[in-house]
Amino acid sequence: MRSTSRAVALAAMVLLPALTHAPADRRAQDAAQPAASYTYQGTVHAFTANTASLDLITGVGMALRIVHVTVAPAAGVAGLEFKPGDVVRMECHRTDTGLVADRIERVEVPKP
Amino acid sequence: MTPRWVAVASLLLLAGCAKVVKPGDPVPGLAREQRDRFARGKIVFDSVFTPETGLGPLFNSTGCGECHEDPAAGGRGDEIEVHATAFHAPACDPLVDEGGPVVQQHTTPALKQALGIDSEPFPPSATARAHRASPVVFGRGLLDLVPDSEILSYADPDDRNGDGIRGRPGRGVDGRIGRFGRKALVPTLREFNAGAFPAEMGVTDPDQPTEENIGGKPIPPGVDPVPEPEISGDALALADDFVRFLGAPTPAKVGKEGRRGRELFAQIGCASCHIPKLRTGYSPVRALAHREFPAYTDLLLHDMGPELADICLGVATPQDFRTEPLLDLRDAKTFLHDGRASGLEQAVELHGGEGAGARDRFKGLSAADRAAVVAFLKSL
Repeated sequence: MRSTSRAVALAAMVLLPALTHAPADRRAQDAAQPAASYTYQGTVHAFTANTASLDLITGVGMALRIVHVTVAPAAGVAGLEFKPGDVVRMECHRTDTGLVADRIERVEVPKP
Repeated sequence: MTPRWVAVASLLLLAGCAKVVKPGDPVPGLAREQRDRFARGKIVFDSVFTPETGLGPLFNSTGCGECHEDPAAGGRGDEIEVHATAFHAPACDPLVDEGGPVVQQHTTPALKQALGIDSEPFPPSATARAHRASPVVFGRGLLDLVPDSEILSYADPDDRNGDGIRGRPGRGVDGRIGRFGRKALVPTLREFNAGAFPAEMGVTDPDQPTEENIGGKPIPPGVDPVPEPEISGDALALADDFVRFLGAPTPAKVGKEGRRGRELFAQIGCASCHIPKLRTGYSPVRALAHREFPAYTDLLLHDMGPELADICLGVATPQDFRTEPLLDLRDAKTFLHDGRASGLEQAVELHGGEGAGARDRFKGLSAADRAAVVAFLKSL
């Protein structure tokens, strides 16, 4: 019985701080740290200028996937057109509504 | 014995002792730890996945070894898979949002129960369907290390030398030079292997932890309960090392006829694209670094004519195919990217486009000389 009580006490000591403080600490960290940045380089599948949305083909080997992003006004692409087949590099951050591209640039694929 | 004779005798002895690589053997000269990883990687390569261990919900095979098995692990298989894309010149749509480009031919029982399908629905927007035979993966670690500069040195997109051959590099979706896949879409062996687990077996891994959609629609709830990634980074790395360390089989010794065939292979222009030997660049694996090896490819895309045309992929048009490395032809029962040729002579005769010149010169040879070329090819 004594060893059981000691185990419960030990578990409480270890877990209580985590249970009571972790979420608050995490919120504080989230507020203090900049949002994580993601870099994607791939082929444009579709670009809709009026909604500033871009679908990018990325992937690994033959396992291709589409990444959908909204292009932030500050990304400096106003007036630019991206057509299917263009290769672009984007720096994005994640929001509650999805990925937002903060910077986007065309990658010139060298001709042989 | 004079010093010159001693040197000649030593060279002959060394040549005679050169390690013969049989299909399925590792590259000679691996360190003990690398041989150990080759052996452990083969276990992953040969393992069979089930829905409980991550298989599916869409898949073409239950394990790497199911399609790459003949005459040894890493060899070819008799499975034919289906790819689909849409070509809207000059752009190629791999139809990712409709389940492309790989259209898996099997479903797990749970997916079948949920959607009533036995295979992935064929993408409705596809402009072409391609069939793909399972190639050998021997020597791929060596091909991975051929420097971009060497590949580009063979390119001649404007046919400046007037030989009718215009090679150009394939490109990955991010613009890097592609080496792997029949359309040279994939730049590195690691990416090819890491992509094969999810694309062929529906097994996600740390490099591609996202399952494919089902013909463009989300996976029904409860159908794929195994958390992503479905194999560990360690298992992926072992399988990757197994494939990376598979050697390029040593061509068999040829007699007089085979030697004549080898000369003709070069004379009629086959070797313009099927470059007999390539050289690797730097690698931390000494056994792979700076090695000349039998490759019989330039790793470039070539227009092979309308008869062979199927899908586009990346920068490859429907008529473009990457020069197939001619490795382990001695064990092949069918030939070309989709296995449509039942013999080597037929395979040569099906070459079109940039291969038409060599094909016509082959057809113009005497029966004995054609047989000599085939004898040489069967030694590879």
